[in-house]
Amino acid sequence: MEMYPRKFEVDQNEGLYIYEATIPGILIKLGLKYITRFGTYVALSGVTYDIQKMSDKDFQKAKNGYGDSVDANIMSPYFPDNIKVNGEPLGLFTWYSLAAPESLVRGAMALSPLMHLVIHRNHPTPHTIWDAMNAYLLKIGKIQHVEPLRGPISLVTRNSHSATPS
Amino acid sequence: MVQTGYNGKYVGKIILNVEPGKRTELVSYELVPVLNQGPKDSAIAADIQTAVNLRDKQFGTRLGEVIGTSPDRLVSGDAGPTSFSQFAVDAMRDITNDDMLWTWEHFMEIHHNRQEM
Repeated sequence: MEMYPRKFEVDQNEGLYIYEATIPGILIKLGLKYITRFGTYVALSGVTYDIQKMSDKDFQKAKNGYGDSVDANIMSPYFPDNIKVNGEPLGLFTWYSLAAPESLVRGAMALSPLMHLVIHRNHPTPHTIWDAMNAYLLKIGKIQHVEPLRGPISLVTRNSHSATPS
Repeated sequence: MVQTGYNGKYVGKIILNVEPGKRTELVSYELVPVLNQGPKDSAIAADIQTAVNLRDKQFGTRLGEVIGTSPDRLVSGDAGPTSFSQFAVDAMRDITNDDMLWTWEHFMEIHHNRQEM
């Protein structure tokens, strides 16, 4: 395996930095709902959730909300449930500290000034992703095996390995 | 031409019918895969060789040094979690000690140019 660091600036040879921000729990719930519904894979640490399947009636109602758009055709009947942060139930109005790659935070803030309303106090840490992986490998000694998701859940939702179909 | 995804895997080709006063119409779109086979541009090839020479001069043979092996395929998780992607997100959260880490795989810097050890 060979890797190279992704970067924004020409002289950013150590790659992207890790950013921190503060976000409300409701944003986490909405984000998980979106990725579960539309099958986008997201990589998470510190968050676990179950995947539930809605009834045919509720699914049809949800689809109707999207009219005849493409979204209505690609959405799935799954939704997140029992969301926990560090083992504690998610508080919708609790503010959580979030770490994310520089590209994600800078990209999100560039979308709209309104992003400042939901992503607070974003700032770079002194750590690059490269540094973090180096330090963590030295700390744990061995990369743990993660079993890939299989079956319809993996095909439809493709979510975190911590998500379990019920 | 439009950007599509990441890692230079595809070039997006989209054809729109744009007429003033009318609704823009989508005629067609396609993903054109970027392959490393086929004819090479000599000027670009020379630039790449210059960069390779500079790299070798700066780092010598250390970049090719094998420092470990793994029975797992250490690949990024384009379509789901992998051992490596989970390691990467856990590492970022560990060093910052935040409540959580959230990302999409392509927002990380883990770009592979050869996916197997």
